[in-house]
Amino acid sequence: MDEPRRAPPPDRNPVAVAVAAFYVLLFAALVWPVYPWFATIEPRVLAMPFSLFYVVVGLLFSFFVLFGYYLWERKRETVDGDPNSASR
Amino acid sequence: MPAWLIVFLVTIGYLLASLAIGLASGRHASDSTEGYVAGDRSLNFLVLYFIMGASVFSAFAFLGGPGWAYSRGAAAFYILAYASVGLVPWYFFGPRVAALGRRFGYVTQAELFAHRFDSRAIPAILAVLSVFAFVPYLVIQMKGAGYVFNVVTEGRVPQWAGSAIAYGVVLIYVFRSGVLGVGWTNTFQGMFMMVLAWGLGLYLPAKLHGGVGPMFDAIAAGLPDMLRGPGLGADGQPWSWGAYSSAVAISAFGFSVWPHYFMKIYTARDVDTLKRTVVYYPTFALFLVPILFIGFSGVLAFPGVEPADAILPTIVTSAQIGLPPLIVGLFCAGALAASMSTGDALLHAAGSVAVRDFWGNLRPGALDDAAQRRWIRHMVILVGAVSYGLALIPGLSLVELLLLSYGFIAQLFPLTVVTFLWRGVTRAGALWGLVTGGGIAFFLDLALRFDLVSAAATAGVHPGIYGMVGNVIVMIAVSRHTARLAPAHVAEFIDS
Repeated sequence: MDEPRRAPPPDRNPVAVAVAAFYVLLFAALVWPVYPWFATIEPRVLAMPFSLFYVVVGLLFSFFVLFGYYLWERKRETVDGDPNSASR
Repeated sequence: MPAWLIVFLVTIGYLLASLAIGLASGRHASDSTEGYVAGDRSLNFLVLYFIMGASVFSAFAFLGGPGWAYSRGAAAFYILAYASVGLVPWYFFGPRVAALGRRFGYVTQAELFAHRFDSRAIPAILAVLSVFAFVPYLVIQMKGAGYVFNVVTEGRVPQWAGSAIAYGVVLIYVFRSGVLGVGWTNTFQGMFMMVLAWGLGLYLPAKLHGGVGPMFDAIAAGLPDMLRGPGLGADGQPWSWGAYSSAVAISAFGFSVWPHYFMKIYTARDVDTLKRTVVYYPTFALFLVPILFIGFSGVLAFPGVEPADAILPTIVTSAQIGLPPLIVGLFCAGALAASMSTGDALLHAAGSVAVRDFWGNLRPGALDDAAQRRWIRHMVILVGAVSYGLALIPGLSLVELLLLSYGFIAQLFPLTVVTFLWRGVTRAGALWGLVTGGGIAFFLDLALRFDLVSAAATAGVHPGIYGMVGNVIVMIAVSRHTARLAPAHVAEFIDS
């Protein structure tokens, strides 16, 4: 029934998988059962209750990780000399 | 000059600027459906970034965000949580969607699914449900615009006239300029909202409490449950973690697949533009933080404001704050910008989806390109008129309808994932998964509303999440027993 296995498409590289896994973990960190551990008032950071600071840190992590991955992809494009390698 | 007149003139000035930008931007688009709906696939990073940011931060964010923080405290953090991850799937599937759109000429979301699953039923279902989901969403934006006008002119401009003025402007630029009008006005409106949100978000806590820190100190001392997750429910009692978590989940899953956002993927000039839009998106989401501060600043200073969504206009126009009329006028313009920048994208998408996905499916080939563009414009006016009519009906509860539609929209997420990752999914599997998921979300929601099922039995989890589980199970089960699509056809999507 199953079709023969094919080679994975070129963009399914280990780094992309790691980045996708990071976002699954980030999502998990922002909901039950992880977030309740951090959804407290103390310690206060940057004037915010910890429950808010924690979520803002999640937002910043989301930005920096994807930004880093984007830069990595662009670098790989340059190294490979193949402008399409990261554009799929 | 009386204060209300200054406020009114500033607001009118903003509306004229939006109109001028909206009309001027359309001159660069070609006279084709692709030009009207997808901006000739030429949008740059700046415009796409603001389209996505401003469309999402609607009247709900500008009025509802402070309203949630004011009445439900930490429950409002769910908006930040889903904004952290909601658009990330675009980074992975967006470039493929854009490439396929360019290759096969798609301009709507349903066209992709119709082709992938070789189905005419899927796009027709999606078209009907999308328009049903858009209309209440649009009505809420229109009511918000009328409401703001009414409050800041101290009742001199009635709500119906406020909605009519703001959406008259929107209709003109969407009709004339299509997605480019939406894009460039959103850029203007988005910048406006950001400046206003940070300005008010830092100024109001300082004025009312001596700063953000002292404000939270006072709330922590008096109402600590407001600052501890998951905050309070609509009834003022502590919210459940199941409800909080599933609110994050359903919004995050639905976020990347709302049809009017999804179709913006086709507007990107190139893959790099699309990826940068996703990467920088959280910087736009950060603008919600000061919006929440505004709501928190009212908790102790303005107790008992009903409805909670009125907290922002209440604070801004209060004598206690004493804001100069010019600033109040800018606030009014910012709130209108929030409403209009979501409403314009909805109107534009509703017209496009109704003509391309619904009519185009019932009568394939019946309309040539020029006729399609003409009919999309007619539909924009029709949907605008129907929504305006609904906005005039007092007491019509549309928020409920909107929440119901979220449960359905989230069902498109599994469909999008399997479109690019699973060769084995069949036409029947995709269709029945969608129907099952949407059905569970709809009927479970109704059962909860009519107390046929208790909230405890579902652990407070959003019906759309149960729908997604049913969706995936049925999709897999049906796909295992029904005829597969041609491998060469499937490879176009998976190996693309």
